[in-house]
Amino acid sequence: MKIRILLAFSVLLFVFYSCAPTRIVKPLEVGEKQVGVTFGGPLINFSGAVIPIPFTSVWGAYGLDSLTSTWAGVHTTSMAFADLQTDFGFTRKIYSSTNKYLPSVSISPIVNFMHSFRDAQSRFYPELDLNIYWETPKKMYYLTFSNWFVINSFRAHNESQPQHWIPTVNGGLFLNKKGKFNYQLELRYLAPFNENKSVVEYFSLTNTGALGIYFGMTYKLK
Amino acid sequence: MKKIFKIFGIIGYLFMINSCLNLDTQLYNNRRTESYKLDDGENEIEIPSQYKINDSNITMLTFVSNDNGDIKKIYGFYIGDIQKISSDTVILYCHGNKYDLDYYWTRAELLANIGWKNRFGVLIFDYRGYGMSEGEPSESSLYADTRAVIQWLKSQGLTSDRFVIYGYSMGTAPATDVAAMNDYYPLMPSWLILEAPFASSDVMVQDAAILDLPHSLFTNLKINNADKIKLVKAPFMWIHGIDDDFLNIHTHGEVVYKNYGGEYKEAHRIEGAVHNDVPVKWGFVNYLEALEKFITK
Repeated sequence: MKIRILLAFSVLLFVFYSCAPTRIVKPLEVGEKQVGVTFGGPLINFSGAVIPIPFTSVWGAYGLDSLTSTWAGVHTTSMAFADLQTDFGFTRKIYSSTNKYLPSVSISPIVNFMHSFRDAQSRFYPELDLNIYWETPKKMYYLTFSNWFVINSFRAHNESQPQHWIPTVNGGLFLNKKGKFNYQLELRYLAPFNENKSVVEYFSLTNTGALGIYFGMTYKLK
Repeated sequence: MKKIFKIFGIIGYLFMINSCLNLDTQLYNNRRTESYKLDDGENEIEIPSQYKINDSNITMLTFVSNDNGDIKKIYGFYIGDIQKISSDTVILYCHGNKYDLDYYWTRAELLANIGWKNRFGVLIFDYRGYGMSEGEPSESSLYADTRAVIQWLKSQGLTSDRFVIYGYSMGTAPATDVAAMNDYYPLMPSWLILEAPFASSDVMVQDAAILDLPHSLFTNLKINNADKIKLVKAPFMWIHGIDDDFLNIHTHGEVVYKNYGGEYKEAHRIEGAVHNDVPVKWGFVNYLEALEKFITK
C-alpha cells in the first residue's frame, strides 16, 4: 500500500498548506501592478529521488499606498482536480530600515480558501506572516515567519483537532535581472514540530516537518 | 488592468477544461504477474522454515467476480484441505495494496500455523488487477471480489459461525465492509481481525496535509472503516504497530478501535513495530498464540 499511495498523493498534490512561496515581502509602489507565476512545494522522496511537489500558482498584486499592497493568487494545480484554491491578503510595511545592515519589516494577513467542487465542501485558513528583508540594488533577501491557523475544533470522525497553529520558516531572495522581471527562490522548513507519520514521505533533515523549495517569476505591469 | 483580466480569463478556461482529474486510479500499487511464485517470490516478511506449508496443502483457485456487471476472473489460494471447508474454521485473508498475493504469501502461511499446522483453513486471493487476476482495481471491485471469494467458500460448505476475516492495511476496507454490511455478502464473519487499519480517506488526507481537509479535494474514494466499524457486531481484534510510520496508530487505528460497535474487542499495540513488521516485532509465537486465543475464545 505504502509506495503507490505515497507517490499518488504526494506527486499530484498534497500539503495544501505551503503550496506557493511568499507572495509579497516589500510592498509595491503606489499604483504598481505585478503578476507572477510560481512552482514548487514540499520535498518528498520519490522513487529514491528527492523532488518538490509540483504545485503551481498564478497571482497578481497592486500597490495601494506607499506602505501597503494587496494581492491574490490562484493555485492552478488544484484546478486540475476540480478544486478551487486561492490565497489573498495584503502586506504592510511596519518598519523601514535606513541602515543597510538592518532589515525592514512587514506583516501579511492572509486568507487561504479551498473549495471542492466534488462535494461542495470548503475550508478557509487565516494566516499571518512576519517578513524581514534586506535590500541591495539587484537583490532582496528575506526571512518569513509564516503562521497558519486551523479554526475548526474537530477533524474527521469528530476527533479533536490536535493542532491549531502551524508555523513555517521561509528564507529566500528576489533577483531583479531585467527591468520588469523578478525571479524568486525560496526555501522552507514546513511544520517543524510535526512528526512525519503519514502516507506522504516528506523529506526533512530531522524526523519532523518537511523542507520545501519554490521558484517564482514576477512581471511588473506598471 | 485588461492584462490582468485576460490572465484570469485564461485561468478560468484552464479550470473548465481540467476539472476532471483525481487520484483514484493512482492509488493502487498492483503488480501483474504471469504466474505465482509464493515462497519463491518477494515476500513482505520472512518466516522460519517451520511455518512453511507443504505444496500438497495448497490449492490454486479461480473465482468469477461481478462488479456491477463488470465480470472478471480472479485468483487465489486455499491453504488446507478444501474437502474440509464444510467442517473447518476458515480465515479469509484480505491482503494490502502492494504488488500481489505473492508479497503477502508468508503472512498467509503464518495464519495456517495458528494452533497447529493447518488447524484452520486460510484463503488468500488477489483483487482484480493484482497478480494474475483480470481487470483493474477500484474501490467497488475490492468489495465485489471479496464477495466472489466468500460466495465460493459458502458453496464449499462454509457457514458464518466458522468464518473468520482478517484484513491488513488496504485489506481492512473489504474486511470491515464484510463484517458490517449484512446484505451484500453471502456470509457474515464471526470474527473480525484488522491489522494496521486506516480510519478513512479523510484521515489519510488530513494526516498528510496537517489541515482538516476533506478527502474530496483529492479523490472520490469513500473508504471509511471508522464509520463502518460501528455496525460490526462480530468480536473484533485490532493489531497495530505503535511506531506505524504510514497509518498513524493514533489517528487511524485508535479511532477504528474506539468506534467498534459490538460487544467484544481486544487491542494489541505492538511496541517497536512499524506498518509492515507487526508479526516480526511481536514475535511469531506471540502473534499466533494471540490469534488462536481470539478465535477459540
